[in-house]
Amino acid sequence: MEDHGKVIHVPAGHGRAFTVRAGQTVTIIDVEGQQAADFVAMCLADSSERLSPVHTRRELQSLFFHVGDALMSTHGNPLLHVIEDTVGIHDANVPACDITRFSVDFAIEGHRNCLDNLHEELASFGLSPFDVPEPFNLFQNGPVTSDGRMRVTDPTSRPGDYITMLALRDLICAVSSCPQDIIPGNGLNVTPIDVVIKAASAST
Amino acid sequence: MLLMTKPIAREAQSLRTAHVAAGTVGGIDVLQGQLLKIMAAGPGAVASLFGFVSGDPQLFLSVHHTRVFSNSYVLGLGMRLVTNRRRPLMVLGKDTVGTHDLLMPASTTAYLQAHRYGNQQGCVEAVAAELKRLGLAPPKLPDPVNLFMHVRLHQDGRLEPLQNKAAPGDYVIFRVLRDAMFIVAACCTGIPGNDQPAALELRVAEDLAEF
Repeated sequence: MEDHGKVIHVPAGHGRAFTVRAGQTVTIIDVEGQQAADFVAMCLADSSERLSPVHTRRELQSLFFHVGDALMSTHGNPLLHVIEDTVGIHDANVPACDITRFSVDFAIEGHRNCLDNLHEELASFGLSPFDVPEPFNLFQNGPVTSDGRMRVTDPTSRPGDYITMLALRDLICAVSSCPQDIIPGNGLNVTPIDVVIKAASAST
Repeated sequence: MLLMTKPIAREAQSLRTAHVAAGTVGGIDVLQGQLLKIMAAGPGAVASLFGFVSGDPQLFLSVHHTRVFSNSYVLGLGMRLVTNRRRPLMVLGKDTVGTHDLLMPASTTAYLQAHRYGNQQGCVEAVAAELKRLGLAPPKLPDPVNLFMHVRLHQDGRLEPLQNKAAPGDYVIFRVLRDAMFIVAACCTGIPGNDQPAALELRVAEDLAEF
């Protein structure tokens, strides 16, 4: 019988946390397309070891990652292996939007934001807002201009596009459907994200 | 001193300096409006910069928020370096080198050992020890701004470590906008072409002429 795995629905503009065991795969699905999903992870056994875009960059010698690449921890260890990706464009540069992203940059108080989305879900694991790792912004599109600037633009992802990663360690993970509805980033239309967790053998 | 409509209510300080030996870290506190000069004292120096706002341990220089604040992957003249709450902390006002890094992590002792740099102290451990010595306890150790580190960003996202261009006497000068403690590491970075630690000089002045 086919294993459909555990499905977690992340409502538009909200977050969800979950655990993934070593050997399981986690698939992040952009249900309606053009929606960034902030993804963070840390080791279940030692939450001070966190998935890190900065350390991944050093390992890959690239801003971007592709199928076959490992995503690295703050301790320099591979935590996830990218095994499928129907989009191929993700961001590992922009910090999670937080309350100040909206209050300082856009003069809006009280807007939903990724940092609070992630922390609200991770607080039950005893984590403070400062413990929330820097995110990988799946499906987010931040191309490099010829003069080293970051272009602010919408994702290229279409409905049902996904990325699948194999967990190499037991992980606490969280996903936020980015609530950014002011600048390009989610097509000015915030939509849900689905997460599917399966045994590795069932995903292929 | 900044040209305020009402004069700043503090005495002007005289020039202060700190020497950071190769492979070590140094700290210097800077008051609002002062200039911070960071100078290479040897060839190929890298200055990994960390900043902590005085009186509020939860506010620190954030390289990640600095990039998104200016929508730029690279540091340029006139750019504001901001805190983790997206408020300006300092501005890059002068720069004799022009190649800096906003993307690479601080080294750790374990990383340097694993990559055959021998038994050198990593930047992370050195900065953590200096924070402890200073009695500062930020909720996390931020990632650094790697001044003078030469890593070319290609348009396809490739990061190419290149030979560091800093020569003795090269410098950057920041106008600092909030009272803050800056910690500057001259540790081995573990980034090829930028992995030979060299000494640094830190200077703080009210006005450019004092340098």
